[in-house]
Amino acid sequence: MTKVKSILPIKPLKSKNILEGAVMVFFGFLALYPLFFVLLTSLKSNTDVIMNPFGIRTFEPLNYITAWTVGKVGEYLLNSVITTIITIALQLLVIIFASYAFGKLRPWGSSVLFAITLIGMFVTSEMTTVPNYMTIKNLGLMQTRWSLILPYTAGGLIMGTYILTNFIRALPRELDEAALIDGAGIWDIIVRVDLPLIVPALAALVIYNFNGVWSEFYWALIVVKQDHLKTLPLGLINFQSQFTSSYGVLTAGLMILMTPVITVYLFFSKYFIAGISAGAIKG
Amino acid sequence: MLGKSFSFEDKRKILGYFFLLPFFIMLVVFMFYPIIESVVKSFTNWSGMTDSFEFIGFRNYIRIFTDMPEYWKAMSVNIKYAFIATTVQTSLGFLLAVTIINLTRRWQNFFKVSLYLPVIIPAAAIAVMWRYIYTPDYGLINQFLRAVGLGRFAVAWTANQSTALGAVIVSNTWRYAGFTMVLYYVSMLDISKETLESARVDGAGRWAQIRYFYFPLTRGATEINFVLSITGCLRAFDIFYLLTGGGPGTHTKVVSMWIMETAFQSFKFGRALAMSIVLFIIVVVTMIIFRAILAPKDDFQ
Repeated sequence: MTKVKSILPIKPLKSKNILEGAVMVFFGFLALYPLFFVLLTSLKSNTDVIMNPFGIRTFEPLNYITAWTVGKVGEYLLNSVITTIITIALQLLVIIFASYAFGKLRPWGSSVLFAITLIGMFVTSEMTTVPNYMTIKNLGLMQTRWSLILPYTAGGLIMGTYILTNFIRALPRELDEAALIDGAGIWDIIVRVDLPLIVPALAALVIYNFNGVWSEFYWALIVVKQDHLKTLPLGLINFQSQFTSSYGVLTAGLMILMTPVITVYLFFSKYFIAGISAGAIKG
Repeated sequence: MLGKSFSFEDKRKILGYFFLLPFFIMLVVFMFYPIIESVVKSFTNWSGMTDSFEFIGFRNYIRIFTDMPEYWKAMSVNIKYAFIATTVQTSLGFLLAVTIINLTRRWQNFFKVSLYLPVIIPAAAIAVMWRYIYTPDYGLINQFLRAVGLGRFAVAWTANQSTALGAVIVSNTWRYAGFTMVLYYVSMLDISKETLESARVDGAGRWAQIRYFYFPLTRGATEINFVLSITGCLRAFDIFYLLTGGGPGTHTKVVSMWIMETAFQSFKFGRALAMSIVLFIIVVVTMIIFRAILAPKDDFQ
């Protein structure tokens, strides 16, 4: 038998699955077409948007430049990047320390403390919004980036610590014991033996928290009033009223907001979809 | 400093407390203190603008239940939304999962990744995108209707009393159908191949397979999906705020929007806190009820 290598990345559907395939192609189209429509619109002139809604005759990359400068999307993007990076870095730091304590060091009473923190998973943002607003105000952090970063950091801690603690608890103990016999100190074991084992789990953690921080809208709407601190989701609202009828520019701004998440998603879709089972625990 | 009298194991445990410190400081400041504060201040007439307040007993709560029809009108929007959106999303997600389960693994992955894509897009982007799609003059839907000669059905979808809630439900379904599909898909993968194969040999057709295997054996996914979707709908804010702004009038104004206005526009923080606690209790009770009804029985496997 000769093996024919298919040029298509995926094998064509088997004939008995034609009906299923057709149904799925239709729904796949429904899921992806709006995004494609936005992409197409973002590259067109406004006349083209009106005259020729489903095709493209003009090519207008200037939309992106207008969105970036006049629409301040560049500034909002920078704010989102800074806020997200600092938040994720802080979260990782706090989560690694806490999970290591819950998973390995296990001080007296830690399992009780661990159980108590899990209650926090059921807390909804409406319950914490008003007091957090006052706390940020009393700390003098209003109209600074920290008004976003600190509550965001706190928001992702419990789930992250829960996931990483379970991961650490499942790690083999033999390595620690071997290192101990070799005369390694506490810190040697943490930095040289255990930390490298934790690293692979961190990717999933970062991805899980990244989307929440990047997309957050409700809290940002309440605390951030000045343009120079606005993150993309919030900035996009300004932007929308500024370019109500310039569809090309509006959709270009939209593309700039969506592209980073979609890119990360396409590379790490496995982790995103695995996050479902983790998210399901939260329910 | 740690004295020499501590054993290695003791030192590790003490170090453990230091490692837990940042975690607990963050949680206490931004999560546990706020909850207690919320409960306490919900019994006051605190404005949020000054530090002065008086305890007024249950007056905020009594007011919600006796003299706040707008709260319950908003709640009825949430409930209607939760009911319709959850039904549509769950049935569609289930049907999609049943459809892809028979395809080859690579096609399954392809549809899984494509249909899950909307789930990861920020709510603000989804809302702005759908606002554009619903735009009366040049939006995707009305342009399409005109192109196929159905122009007379073109309306201002988000500004029309009879279509505004439907418009939100459609965009919500677009956003989450893939999520529900993946939940069901993952749970269908757990059904043993042998069971399904022997049923097939015994002559069970597609519908029989769905009815006796896929549907009952994915009850866990149904439960999680109902709980997540219903509680999400009861607390919905982003998509309503951005897509319809609660309009036309207060036709699609949801509870979270009232809470936010009461706190940050009318400056009645005490009352707003009572409103959010009532919402919280409703959400938790709903969650418990649905878990109890839908939780898979042990003898089911």
